[in-house]
Amino acid sequence: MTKHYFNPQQEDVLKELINVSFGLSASLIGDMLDNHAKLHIPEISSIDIHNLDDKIIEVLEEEYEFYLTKQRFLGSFNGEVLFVFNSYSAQAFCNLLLKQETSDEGDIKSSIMELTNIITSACIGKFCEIIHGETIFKVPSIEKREISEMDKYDKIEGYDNVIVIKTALDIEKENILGHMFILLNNEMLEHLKSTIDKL
Amino acid sequence: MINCEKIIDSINVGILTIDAELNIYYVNKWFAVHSDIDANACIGKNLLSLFDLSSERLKSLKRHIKTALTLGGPSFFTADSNHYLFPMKNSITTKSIFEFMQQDVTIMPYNIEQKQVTVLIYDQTSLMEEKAKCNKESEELARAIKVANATIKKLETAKNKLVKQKDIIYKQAHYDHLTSLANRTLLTQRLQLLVENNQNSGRKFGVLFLDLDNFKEINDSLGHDVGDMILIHVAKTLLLATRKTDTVARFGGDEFIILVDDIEDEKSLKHIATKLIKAIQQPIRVRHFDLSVTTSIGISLFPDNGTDFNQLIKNADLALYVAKAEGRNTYKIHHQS
Repeated sequence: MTKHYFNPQQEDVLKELINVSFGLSASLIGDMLDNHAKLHIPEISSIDIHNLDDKIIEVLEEEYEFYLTKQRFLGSFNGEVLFVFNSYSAQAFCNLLLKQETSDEGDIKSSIMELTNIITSACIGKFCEIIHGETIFKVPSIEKREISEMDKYDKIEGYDNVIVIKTALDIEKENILGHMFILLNNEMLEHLKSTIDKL
Repeated sequence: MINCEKIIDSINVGILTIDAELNIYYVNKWFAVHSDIDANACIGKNLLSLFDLSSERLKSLKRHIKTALTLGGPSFFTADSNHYLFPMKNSITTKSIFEFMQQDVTIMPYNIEQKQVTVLIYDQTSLMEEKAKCNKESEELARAIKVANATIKKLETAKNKLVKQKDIIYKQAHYDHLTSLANRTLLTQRLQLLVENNQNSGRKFGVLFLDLDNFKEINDSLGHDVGDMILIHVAKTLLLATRKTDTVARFGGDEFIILVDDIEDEKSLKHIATKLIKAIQQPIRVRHFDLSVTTSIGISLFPDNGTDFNQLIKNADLALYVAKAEGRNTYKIHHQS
């Protein structure tokens, strides 16, 4: 399933860029929670867009329900970012943010949106910065999905490649695990690669 | 020269410029109208003097401002997960299901050094109403599906019950309640079927009429319950000694009839009769007693001794009479005189 869009040198640079944006994100997330937040060094892989659903199922392991956020970014650097959180991580993050024992669906969705907004903005902002691109973010959306219903959801079209970034966040004793999927078409991927090569 | 302020005042989006401390620097006409405030009079005021924000909303707003200023990019609230940020009452005339306008809010950095952001507010009330309507319909549909499934389940249970009842009724009508062998009704049907099937093919079948010897004495001396146990035992013995394709029926009292299909000749029937006599005379253990029962058998052959139910039974019965007369525990084949 895994494809190697980036050579080892490109992957190192990409990892470094994401790491920098993750550092910025961790600081903001820590402020959000009035707590120390640590974002682990990202694990990066690449897949073909056709394998997206299978990859989502794979990263969720045995979790049945999950939260999916979607956000498009337009401009000279364009694509779409998806975030997948299993129910446990979503609930745990919301409880930490709102400092409560249990949370309702609206609270969870709103908390996850805030979290993904930070990581997406930091990460895509960094990519834009290095390629000297301009981008506009569309309003994100979030929904709760079930693995068993995967075939029934609308398919995402217009992209060829997916960069998968494992996002592990340590806050207090909780380990919040999410996966970020950056969807790019071939042109954008090549643009990103050639820019990385010049760095 | 384009008048940007005129354009900004004519668009259907709320625009507000504030700083991290929530001091207001600018509001457009949309924002002023929907907040019921004077656009110029509110400049310099604090946002909290205009809106009663809950502590959670206030914290969230401040976090979003910080995110936008730190990352230099937009930060979003969505109507879907937050409903609204600024409590702006929906008009009574629109009869909205929501008391407050449902809002998508985007917070953009305006002047990072001065910690100023621009807040863009989009009215998503109609969209959220549609969504709520869809959700309601989905829930109603889900409930209807649940009711339908429950009804289907009930119908299936009722159907299974009917099938079982039908089976019970069929068994009661076609099988003997004591021995579970075929009764007269089923025997008549089976024999009729054999006659129809064998009429043109030239194949033969035999009718064995069995009557237990001196069974009345056993019944009278040991009681009907012992007699019944013997009948059950004999029924089992007959089933074990015959083929599955043969029909073993209880004709009445201690009389049994066996239909043996597809036989070559009388010799085959003699062999079967001998086997049955031997099997039945084996001692039976009932209530610590070893009892011995014998049977006499009269045999008729289709088509030689009859081509219908009455003829075949009658001739087998006549042969049985001869077997009884010749000392019992034996068989006789009917021969036309």
